[in-house]
Amino acid sequence: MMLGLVSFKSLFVAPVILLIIVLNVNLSMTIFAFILFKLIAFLFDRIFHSLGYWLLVDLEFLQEVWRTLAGIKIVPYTRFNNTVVLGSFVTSLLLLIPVFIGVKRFLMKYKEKYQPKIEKLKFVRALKGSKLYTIFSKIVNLGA
Amino acid sequence: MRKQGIIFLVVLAGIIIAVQMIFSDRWIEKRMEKIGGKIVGARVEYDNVDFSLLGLSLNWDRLQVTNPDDTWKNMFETGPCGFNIAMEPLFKKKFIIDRMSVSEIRLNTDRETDGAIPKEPPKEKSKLAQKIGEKLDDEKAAIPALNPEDLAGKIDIESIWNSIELTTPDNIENLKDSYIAKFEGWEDRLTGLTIEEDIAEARKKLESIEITKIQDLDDIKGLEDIRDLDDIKDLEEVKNIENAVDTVKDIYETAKEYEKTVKQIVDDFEKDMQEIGKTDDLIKGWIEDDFNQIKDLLQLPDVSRRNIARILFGDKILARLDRVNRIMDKIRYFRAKLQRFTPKKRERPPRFEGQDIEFVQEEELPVFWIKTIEVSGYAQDQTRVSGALENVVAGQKIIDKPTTFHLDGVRPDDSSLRLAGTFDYRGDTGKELFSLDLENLPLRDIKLTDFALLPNRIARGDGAINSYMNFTGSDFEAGVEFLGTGIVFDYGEKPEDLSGYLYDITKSITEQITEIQFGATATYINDEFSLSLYSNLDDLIAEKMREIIEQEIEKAKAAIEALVMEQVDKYKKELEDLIEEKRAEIEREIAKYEEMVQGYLDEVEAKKKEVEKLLKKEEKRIKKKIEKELQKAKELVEEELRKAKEQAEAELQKAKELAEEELRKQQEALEAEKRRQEEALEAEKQRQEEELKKQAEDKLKKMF
Repeated sequence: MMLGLVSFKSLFVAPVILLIIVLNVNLSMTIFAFILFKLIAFLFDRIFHSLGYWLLVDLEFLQEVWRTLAGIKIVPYTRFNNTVVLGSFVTSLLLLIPVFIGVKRFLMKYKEKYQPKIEKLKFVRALKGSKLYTIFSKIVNLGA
Repeated sequence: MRKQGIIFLVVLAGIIIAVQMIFSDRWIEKRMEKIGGKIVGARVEYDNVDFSLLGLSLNWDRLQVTNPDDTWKNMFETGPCGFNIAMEPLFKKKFIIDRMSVSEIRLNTDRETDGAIPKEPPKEKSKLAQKIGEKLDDEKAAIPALNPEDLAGKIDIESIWNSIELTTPDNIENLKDSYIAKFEGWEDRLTGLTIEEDIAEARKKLESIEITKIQDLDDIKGLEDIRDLDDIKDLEEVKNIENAVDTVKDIYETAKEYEKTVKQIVDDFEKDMQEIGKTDDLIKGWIEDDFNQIKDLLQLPDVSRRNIARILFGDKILARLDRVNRIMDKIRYFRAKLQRFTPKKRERPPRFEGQDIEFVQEEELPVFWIKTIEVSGYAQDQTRVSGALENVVAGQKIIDKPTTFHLDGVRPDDSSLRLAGTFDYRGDTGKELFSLDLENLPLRDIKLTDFALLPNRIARGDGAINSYMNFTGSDFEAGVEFLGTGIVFDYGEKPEDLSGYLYDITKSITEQITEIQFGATATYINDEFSLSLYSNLDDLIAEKMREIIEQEIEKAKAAIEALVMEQVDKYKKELEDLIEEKRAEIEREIAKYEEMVQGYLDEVEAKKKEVEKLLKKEEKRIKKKIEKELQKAKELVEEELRKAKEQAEAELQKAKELAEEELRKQQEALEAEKRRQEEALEAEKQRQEEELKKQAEDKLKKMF
């Protein structure tokens, strides 16, 4: 989600990618989430900008924090001073736990109720039988 | 934890390090050589390039930059060089080098291999460089070509003589025709004169005057009787005399007219003769014109003071200016290339890219900036040079500093140089300023000029050069001052191709020179190029050159004049003979008329004197008589006047007495009236006083 929401031009993304590589994360889920949230981010950029602007400009008590951060080496490369970058980053942080809980519940229900039905669909079976899927599975299961 | 993930990261890091260690140095070296070669137009070679990714440093042991004009020579080569790239700005794609060192730089060194590369089509000079180049070419073409050796004794009279067409013979022929016409005119004028006939006629008239007939003029009557002069017989005689005088006078006037006519003819003839007398000068003028034609063919150089400086140093100065112009063109070309790295003005990001809020005023950095390049090495002639090039930057406006350089050099013989320059492109108009100063420059064996009258070799002497060159936009101005002191020329042996005469002149010039001062300024402003040069040799050499040229000209002139005169003499002789013959003829004719008129005039004058004498005598006598009569008349008038005066005085006395009587009577009447009025006034006064008195008494009574 964070990869999709936050701009790739920001250094915020680097530790996330590192974590994805190092930790046991489901890559197919990561790719799916990245595409999904990239599309969402595209629609919500205006809101991210407003949130970021509010945080960076309107909240005066945070001004000192931003100034301090701007003075620290490397931090400016996160582009935290960009309204959309900060807005999207803060949004992704705020949504981290609710989305985690929500997705977990959804997946459990999906596995119980919908997965067997979906796997029986002709289209899905055909897809799974394709070469593309085999390669994709190999990449995804690389760390499994 | 995902093991494969960690392995992947480790492998990736290993590959990067290995590639950097194994391939990067060579790859960077190749790239730099390729780029350098493209810029210079000849091979640029780096030895042992070492790039450190961790330290972000680049070093090499040797750099050779081939001279594109001589690919077996290096324009320069360096020893070990290196620099560090600042890491932090690199994250912002900014290439900042704090200090770069270039050591052991050497100019014009030999190469072991040919440094030529397949040539790209030569870069066309910029329009400005082309324009300046054209102006310099024009200026060079305008330098007078002057070589004293070409002049001394080498004027080819024969070829010059064959290539000219003399105008003098034709002019003399034309003059001869015009003189013939003139003399014919004179002959016509003289034959047209009627003086001879007129004099014969007038002489008859003169002889008809008989003086004896009017000699008895006596007895003029008294004034009271001569109311009508026409009635007087004697006066008629006087009239006759007067008429005779008038006639003689008329004849005399006519004779004078003849004299005037002859005199006019003499004057006109003399004038014409004077004109003809100038024939010699005229012919000389034509010969001079013919010679001037020859002079033009000689193409004699202008040896003015101004031109001498150009002749002496013009070529070298213009060659150097041209070289600087080419170098500047290259610098501007490279600068334009560097400017491509200058970031374009940042446009505000679109709405959905967000907005950057600045919290810290970051120092704005250009994309490329070498703060200092320290240079040390050897220039030509073992000159040890050191200096620095500062602020090589893409975008001077960002750092608000110009690019500057300075190089100081010292040679073992204590001569020194300082080269400094500034490239300032911060304003609207770019400025490039350079200065080069050389001190204690040994002039031994230095060739200052190719001019033949100065020896090639200087035996002793020190020189100092101060020069500057400032470019502002498309304008430039440059100046150089040279001072050579303690100059001693080495004459050596007399060159074979130099005549003894010129060799002596050379010696006499150089013996007077112990110091050479030379200055030049060149400007190219608003598309106008101007070059001025001066030196303390100008006057000296100009004088000697003039001496040589004048001598040669005199020689050529004498030779050509002799040839011209040879051609012209026969025409001249014919003309002179014609003039002499015609002149004598006409002079004789005129003399005849002069004599004739003079004789006649003498006759008339004698007659005139005779008549005038008679008239004078008679006039005197008549005048005496008239005066006597006038005296008588005057006395009569005075008597009449006295009588009239006495009568008037008596009348006046009578009138006066009458007036006095009348005045007295009027006075008496006035006094009687006055008395009467005074009495009346007194009576009135008394009456008023009495009345007042009475009133006062009445008032007193009432009061008491």
